[in-house]
Amino acid sequence: MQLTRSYRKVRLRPSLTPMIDVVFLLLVFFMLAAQYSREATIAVRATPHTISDAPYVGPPRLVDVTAEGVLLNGVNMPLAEITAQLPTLMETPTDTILVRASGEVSVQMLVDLLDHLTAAGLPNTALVEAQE
Amino acid sequence: MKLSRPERDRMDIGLVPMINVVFLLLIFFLMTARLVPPPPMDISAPEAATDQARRDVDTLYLSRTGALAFNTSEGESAVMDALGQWALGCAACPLDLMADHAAPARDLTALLSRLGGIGVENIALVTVQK
Repeated sequence: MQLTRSYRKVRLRPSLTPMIDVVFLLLVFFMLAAQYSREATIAVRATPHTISDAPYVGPPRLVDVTAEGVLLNGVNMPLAEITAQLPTLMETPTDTILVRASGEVSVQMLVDLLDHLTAAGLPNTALVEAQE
Repeated sequence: MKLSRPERDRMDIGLVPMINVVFLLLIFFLMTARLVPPPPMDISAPEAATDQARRDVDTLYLSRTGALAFNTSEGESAVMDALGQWALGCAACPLDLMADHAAPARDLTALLSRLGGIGVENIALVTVQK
């Protein structure tokens, strides 16, 4: 009698506590494991690809990023000036702009320039390796 | 004796909405979570204002000292070998490149032209939104 009684009681009233435990465990796991930093991307290309894909046309458009500032075709000028002058050197808005990072320039400085050019509607850049 | 019954009912009533809410939260986190393996080394991506969403693709890591890592490979020659095999597997596959913001930009351009040499050309640089 005692055996059947306790058995029946367990089957009829299953405890919610273990289920809640498991659900909380899953909840905490996903809360901690989820990545919520807002990551984005910028497309980057190296020059050989660009040249085989679409040959470079038009006047020279070489933007140098140096520790001293940004140079357009060797002339140091403010970023706003560069984004204003670049379209006059381009035949179509999709023409490639060559970007060369020299010296002690960090990835952040290069990305700042790429970001600036993209925001100015000039996303078609290709990175040139600096020759020492 | 009769008083103890409503008390039990009140406790049961409180439990069900809580379970509902917990399940709702669980499903929310299940749906929105992006489970990305953490970078194998200490890397903080550069900041940018771009809002081009990150794709769910394989990632190549470049640390500030110029060390490379890709999937389970670490070290320059092992990574380039692994990337060569990877590029043979699917032509023009997209690749995410996560470079430390303080790494020399020269390392990045050198890496990009080496990647172009082994046929990896569809590359996006991972940034963090400002």
